[in-house]
Amino acid sequence: MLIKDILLLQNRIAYLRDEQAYKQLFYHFYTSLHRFAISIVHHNETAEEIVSDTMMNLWDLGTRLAQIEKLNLYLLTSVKNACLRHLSKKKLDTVQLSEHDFLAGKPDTHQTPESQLMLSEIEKRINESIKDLPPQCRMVYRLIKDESLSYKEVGGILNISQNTIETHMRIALRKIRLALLHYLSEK
Amino acid sequence: MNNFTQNQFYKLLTAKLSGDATEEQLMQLQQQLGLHPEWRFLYDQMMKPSAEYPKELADQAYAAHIVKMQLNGKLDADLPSLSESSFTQSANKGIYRKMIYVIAVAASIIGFLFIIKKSPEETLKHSSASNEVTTRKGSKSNIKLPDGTQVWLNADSRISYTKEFGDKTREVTLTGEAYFDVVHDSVHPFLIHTGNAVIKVLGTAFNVRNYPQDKSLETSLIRGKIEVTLIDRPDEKIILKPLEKLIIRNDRPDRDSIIRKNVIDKPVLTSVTYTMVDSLVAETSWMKDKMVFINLPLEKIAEELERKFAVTVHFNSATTRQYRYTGVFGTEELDEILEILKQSRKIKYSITNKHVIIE
Repeated sequence: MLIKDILLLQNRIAYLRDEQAYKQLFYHFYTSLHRFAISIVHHNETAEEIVSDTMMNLWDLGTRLAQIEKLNLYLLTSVKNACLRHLSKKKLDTVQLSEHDFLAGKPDTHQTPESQLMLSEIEKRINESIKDLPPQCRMVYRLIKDESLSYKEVGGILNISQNTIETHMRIALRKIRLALLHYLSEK
Repeated sequence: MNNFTQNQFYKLLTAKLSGDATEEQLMQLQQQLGLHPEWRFLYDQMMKPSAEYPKELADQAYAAHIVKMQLNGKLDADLPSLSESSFTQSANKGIYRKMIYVIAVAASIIGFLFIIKKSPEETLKHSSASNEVTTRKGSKSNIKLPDGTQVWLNADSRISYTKEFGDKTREVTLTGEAYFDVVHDSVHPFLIHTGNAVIKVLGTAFNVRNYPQDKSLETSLIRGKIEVTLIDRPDEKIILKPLEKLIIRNDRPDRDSIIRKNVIDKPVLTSVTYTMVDSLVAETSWMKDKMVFINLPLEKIAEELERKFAVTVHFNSATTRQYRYTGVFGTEELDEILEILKQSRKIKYSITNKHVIIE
């Protein structure tokens, strides 16, 4: 969806309380927000709750929703803040051992042969190599690659410098490239 | 390619992905790609969008989200209210398109499930005190259990729990219909006793419907996971996944007619019905003061009306009972609803005091 289409949806929700537009926005942002939340909280249902709360807040913004220029940045930042609030509330709890990594595109529990097939062999290789990256590196990769956020925006969300972003991306891209070279040499 | 240019390439690619690349950087990147075709593969892969989640996942998340919005009183403002023209007799035509998720019909039968074998009556008898909330016809109630679990009790329903609630288990007994949003606590299992089944909650939000006059028990799962065990078949458990609905027939046949038993007594797993027009999940629409009928016979609709308006509906003809209707009602009064039904498929009715007579 183009930015202007998203803005149109925002306007429809803001001024007309259009539920269909709201639904479209939800579907449009769900994957990236859920994936992002999971990479911070490492828990499927918590991530779902957080995304749902964030989307509910969006509805509550009323006409102010029309004034948000970059909705993906706004949503990612909200999700991040909600995740951090959640973690700080939980900080005395033990760390979750279950490694939920949804980079492969879906939660483990929902893996079906069909959805497996949906990912091409190459995508699988890429996802596997991203999975092994350190968490922050992985997040930088997702934000730059999937959300096309600028250095400044990523820096703002993760509170890191442009140099750090570049370093993370270099590590991620190198790893992916190696995986792809392996893949080619097997063929 | 030496290390310097490798890093240079990564930097250019990153700049392009982030949208921060200058004209000059973009040109450099194209130049490098021309000089080093071995980078092309990585470049092409990075230019493709990443895989989205399968659509069912977004569907589930959205259904759960909408129910939550409804519970929080959002989405109430300008719902398109039902007008005569948008009302159709058939579920398959007209504006009210419906969306049914076809989810694998699979009841897994695994191992033996230990259930605390107390009938509801016993539970009440053995405890010194119990809490009970009852709703009359025409009223609804929102209850918070001691553990924080939220229960929305539909009209003409009853829920009770004993003093021991939360000690070892969290057990409630339900007659009627309720929506549960259960607080997660793996140490204290949450169990719901209904007529002939026990529902063990492994996940979070779902709807249970078990009116005595209904021919079946229905449970629909919105989010999380639940496990249902039939009292007379304790060694089978049925696990429900989100957006699945389980229907267990209450009108069990005679014990000696084995063939009938096998056919009729079999629980049916189906999917939650979902109307696209106003994002209502039919099974939980009552919470929002909405009534959603999808291809439902008039006698069933009458039961809902009886509950909502505290009236009694009488039928004078068996054919009329079976007329089927699809539609969504919000704030309409009883006579308005009947009038709209009449527009769709001709019926004759009269209302006197609290009695509705349909010819």
